[in-house]
Amino acid sequence: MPKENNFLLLLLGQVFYFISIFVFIPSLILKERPGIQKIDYQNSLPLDYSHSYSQSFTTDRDNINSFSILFKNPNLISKDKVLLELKDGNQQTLTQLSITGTAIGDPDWIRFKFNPLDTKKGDILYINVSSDSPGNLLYIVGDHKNKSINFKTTYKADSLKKSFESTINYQLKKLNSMNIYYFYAYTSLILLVNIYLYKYHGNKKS
Amino acid sequence: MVLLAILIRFLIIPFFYHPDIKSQHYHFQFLSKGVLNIYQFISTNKKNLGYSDTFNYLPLTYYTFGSFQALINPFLGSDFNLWLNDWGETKNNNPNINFYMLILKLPYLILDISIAYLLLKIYKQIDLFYLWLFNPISIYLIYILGNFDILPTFLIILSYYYLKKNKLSLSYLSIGIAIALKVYPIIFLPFLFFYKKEYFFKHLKYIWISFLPLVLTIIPFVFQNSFLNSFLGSGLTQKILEYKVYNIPLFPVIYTLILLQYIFSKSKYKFEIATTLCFLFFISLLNFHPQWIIWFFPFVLFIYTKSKLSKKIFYILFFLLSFLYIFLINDNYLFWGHLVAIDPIFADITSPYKLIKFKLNQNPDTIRLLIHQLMLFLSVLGFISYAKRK
Repeated sequence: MPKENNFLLLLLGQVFYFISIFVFIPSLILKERPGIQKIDYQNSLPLDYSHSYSQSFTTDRDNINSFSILFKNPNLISKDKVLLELKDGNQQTLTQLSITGTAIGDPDWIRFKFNPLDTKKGDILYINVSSDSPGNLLYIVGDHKNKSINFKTTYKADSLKKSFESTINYQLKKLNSMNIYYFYAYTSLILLVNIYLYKYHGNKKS
Repeated sequence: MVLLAILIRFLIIPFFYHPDIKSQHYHFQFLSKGVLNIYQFISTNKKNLGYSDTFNYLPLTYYTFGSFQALINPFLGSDFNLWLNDWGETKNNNPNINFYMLILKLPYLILDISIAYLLLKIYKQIDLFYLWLFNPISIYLIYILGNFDILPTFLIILSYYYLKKNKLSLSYLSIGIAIALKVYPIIFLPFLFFYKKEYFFKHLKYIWISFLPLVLTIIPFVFQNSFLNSFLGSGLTQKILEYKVYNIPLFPVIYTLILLQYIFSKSKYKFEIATTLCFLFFISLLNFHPQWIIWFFPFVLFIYTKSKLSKKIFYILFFLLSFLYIFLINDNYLFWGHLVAIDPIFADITSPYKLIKFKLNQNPDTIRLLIHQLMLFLSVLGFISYAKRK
């Protein structure tokens, strides 16, 4: 086979490799992506029946499929029930869930997972957390002043197209936030080795 | 071909990750901050450290890689230290992680290519040279797991090279440095010592050199509890003794048998056969960590090249089972987690262990046990086969 063909094959192989590890594999494997979150509150807020919390957030992707809340169950003694609701901007309930203290550690991020909902990027949603037991010994981590709580969200692409889109968006975002000199250094390194390979291969043939 | 091998490595190095490289370099960073006794430092400051695990390696490892990190630090920028010290939710999110992987693993590339040339010098076999450069197993062990075991491995091969050249002092010094970096090369020491029975007294004259680097580097720490607790907690000794029959640890017994067979063997390749047999039993008896495979791999690869087709199939089967065993370990960083340098969400993907346990309702530990028993059976077959051939 002529040297150009061999080298072209090698180049194509490298392009295929990069597309595979950066786009194909993540798009096919990673259906779920994390979205908006608030994780830096430190205070424990009581969760008895006189206290309920409503956390609003604006979705940053389509199709929410889970949210997580940071609970505390001191000495793991509480078996009380906690009610959770996810509501849309019109206060219509999208999903309702509950959990008891037996499944909550101290502290413990509890994830509430459901089938991807038909929500769009930019929707305003509310997570409501409440309890109907007066002596509930569970706590939630948040900020008393703002009545705001720690939470995380995830979103699940409901089609391969969306999965590819979110993978490409993530990789572009990563590329933009990385030190561009590192990118240039690596690209130059790969180019240099390829040029040497081409030259060496050419010399060998002649 | 070497250029092509280097290109393949450059394509792999930045994009695959294992948290060991971060935790090790987390500890190594303290050398450039003036910490000479890492064991005492961790013991005293445990509560204030982002990563609170003990440093389970020997002092020479700390000084060697700590110096390397101090040397390359100016090229890595201040963000590197932020990444090293981030053990929270965003620990895998640094956008420059690919570049850090590239720089931190560069010494491994030099050692890897040097091993290829050393193997060529020792065996003068071009097929072994190419097999070393292009086999996926060593690429996985060196660059995907990214552990520093490649340095002691290089020193073991260097030691064997000097042994073949009859330069015993250099041979024992090489393995001595390897032992001072990580204790496991001590497994190879008796094989070096009994390489030529007729030179027994000559070997006796030089063997002390192999203990010198270890003794010199641990003297300042050896009576400190912080050092003893950290080092003895690393688990290799316990693992060597863990598989017992009638309360007798099996690996030391088999090791002794292999050594006895080695002493009386007349085979030209007795060193390689003995280390390969050690490898087979080491992997099939111990609850091994995948990086340990690299210790023996160059010699196993040599035996592979010298084997007939049936034996080649035997080795391929053994390695396939070994990797199946590794992928069924309950640690996502040994499967999808390697790709967190591409996208950190890979750390949260269901591992094969959890997939089997929760989706297929099977016990992955039972499957691993079966695989291990099958590997042990193959090892026994291998031992019998080589024993027959003397």
